[in-house]
Amino acid sequence: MTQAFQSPGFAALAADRAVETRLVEERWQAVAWDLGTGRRRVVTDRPGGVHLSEIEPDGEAIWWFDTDSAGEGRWRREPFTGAANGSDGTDGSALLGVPPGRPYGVAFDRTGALAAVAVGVDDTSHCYVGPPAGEGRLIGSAPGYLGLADLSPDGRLLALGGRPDGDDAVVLWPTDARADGRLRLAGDRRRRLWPIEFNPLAISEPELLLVVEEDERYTVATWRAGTGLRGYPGLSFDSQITAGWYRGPRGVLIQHERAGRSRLLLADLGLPAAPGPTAPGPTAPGPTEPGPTEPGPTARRQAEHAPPVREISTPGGTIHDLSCAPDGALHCVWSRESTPPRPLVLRPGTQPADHPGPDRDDTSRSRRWTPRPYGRIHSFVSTPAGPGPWPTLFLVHGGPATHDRDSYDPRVNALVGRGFAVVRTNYRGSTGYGARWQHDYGHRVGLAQIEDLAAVRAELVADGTALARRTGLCGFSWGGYLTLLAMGAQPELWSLGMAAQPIADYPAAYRATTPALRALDRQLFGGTPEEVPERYRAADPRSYVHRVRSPVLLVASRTDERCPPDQVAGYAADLRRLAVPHELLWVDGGHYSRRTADHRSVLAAMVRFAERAWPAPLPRPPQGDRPGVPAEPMEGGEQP
Amino acid sequence: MKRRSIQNDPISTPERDRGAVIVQNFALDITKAAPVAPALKGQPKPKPESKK
Repeated sequence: MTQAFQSPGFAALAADRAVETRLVEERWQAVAWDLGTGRRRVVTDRPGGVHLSEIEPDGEAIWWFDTDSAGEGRWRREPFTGAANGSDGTDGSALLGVPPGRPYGVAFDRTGALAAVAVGVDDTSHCYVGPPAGEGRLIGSAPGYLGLADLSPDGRLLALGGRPDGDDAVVLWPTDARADGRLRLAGDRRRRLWPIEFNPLAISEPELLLVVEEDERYTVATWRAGTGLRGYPGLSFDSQITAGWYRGPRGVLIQHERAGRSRLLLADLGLPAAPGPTAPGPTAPGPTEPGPTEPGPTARRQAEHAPPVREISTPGGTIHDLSCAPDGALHCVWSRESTPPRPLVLRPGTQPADHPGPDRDDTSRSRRWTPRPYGRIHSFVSTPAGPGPWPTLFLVHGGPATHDRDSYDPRVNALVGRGFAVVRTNYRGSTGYGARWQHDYGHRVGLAQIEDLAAVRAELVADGTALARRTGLCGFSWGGYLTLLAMGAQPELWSLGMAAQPIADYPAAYRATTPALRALDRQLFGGTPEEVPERYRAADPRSYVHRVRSPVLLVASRTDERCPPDQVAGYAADLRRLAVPHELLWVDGGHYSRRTADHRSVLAAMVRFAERAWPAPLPRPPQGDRPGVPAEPMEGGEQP
Repeated sequence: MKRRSIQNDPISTPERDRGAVIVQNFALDITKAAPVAPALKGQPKPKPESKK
């Protein structure tokens, strides 16, 4: 068993019980962790692995999602101590009567007496409530994607979230069918809403924590039935955040993502404003150099007070995942570019401890800001030691709304170890640089992003980092889509393209993908392929396939529900007909495999393909950097 | 109370139907941080995993 790659899920009422997800014989499995004895028990043994697991608040049982390779299945439940499923005559179902479907969320009330499960079946979301291992009762259904955010501590109110800019941004359903009070908080393109979680200590009247994006600021907010939505302008940020309740009746923990780095802040919504400035604004310039901006009119109206804010000392880099133990310790999965992900335990309120120093490796790392009229494009550039130029691969992230970070990526190390420079660019549409950078490119889906990649490429060629004749693209999912689009739309720039689980035919992918991703595409394009066909045509790799002239590697899975296989096969048929050198590699595991061997084989195929397309000589560093990973959690941040 | 299998916030919303934090960098064998163990150059093409 190797280390956990998600933060543990803790039982709120049983301090010595938690659930983890760990690699067990190269598959992700659920693991029960007894903190009192230190003993760990592997709960699941699914051949395809398990990536969703939970623990009931009293620690009585572990829940895990039993899924097929297409992502559909049902929640199962097993006692923490490990009694065998079926011994009680059941099949281990966590909530009876819930149909198999896609996992759209799980929540419990304060004690765990009541559980809520949301599932997606075809194009409809359903939400059930019932006692664990008991009969589930259908509370409501809605078309499309509606994810369960939380169940109130008293078990009486469900919070669900749809499109942040849609009519169903926040949906509140009473669990008592006889009760009135179904509510919606609508978002729009000027105000987006995300429901986060109910205050676990607000028993008499549920209090929901939210994040609101308005006037290009991301602001912490709360909602109560009696007072409605209330923002906290003192907790307003110019790039993306998430938040959670943290110890005490009004404590809030905020994670702020900016320019590829994470920081953590604590605030108390119940305390009066501290004297002087308290706004935890940005500290680094963004692509659009926004600087601290003034809160908008709505925020000003809500400016009743600005809670005091305190930043938690971290080693920099990226907080990939975070959970809070009952004793208040923050269990993070942390990494930075030169340090592989590792557990990091932070203890706010204690003296800061020494953070890990820089790691030694053979990779040269730098950050680039490429100026453009609409802002600056941020890239992470990794090269072998010594002078360039190097054959250069752009490792293009997916999403599009995620971003590359100051975080360790073994693919970078592997590629640099083979003599390539690797560039990770946070093109327009990426998160972590504010709302304008994420949304404001005029529905020019794909085209705006490959313009950004081309601009960074030009700069790297001009300054001697990249070999002009050997610049290529390598992307997964939406990054694979950008790869294929650029190979056809900018054939003079890229001499190699490798696309794994990509969108290769946008209209076809739209028709066959999941409801949630169809909603995302409608958001990106401003409509469906029928409503705005010209936008989809302009963004479609198949519109440009006749212009592709350099080698293309396609990787696809027959069980990929998000970027379905047929449209990749169709693109490959086009390449075959056009006599473009290419290879189509079929892999198991769906869109994102839960087995490490699948990822290794894909990366190995990519390195082989690149070395064949760009024959030696390649510069060879002495060896790739392979820092070790500690087996035990590293204590960092603040300690007694 | 909120569970970790739920992600719905400005950082992670676009991948919301994925349902959970998945640290992608962990997908390779991070204990070794050496994802391409077999040498590639001059060696036979690696076979893909079993196909359907």
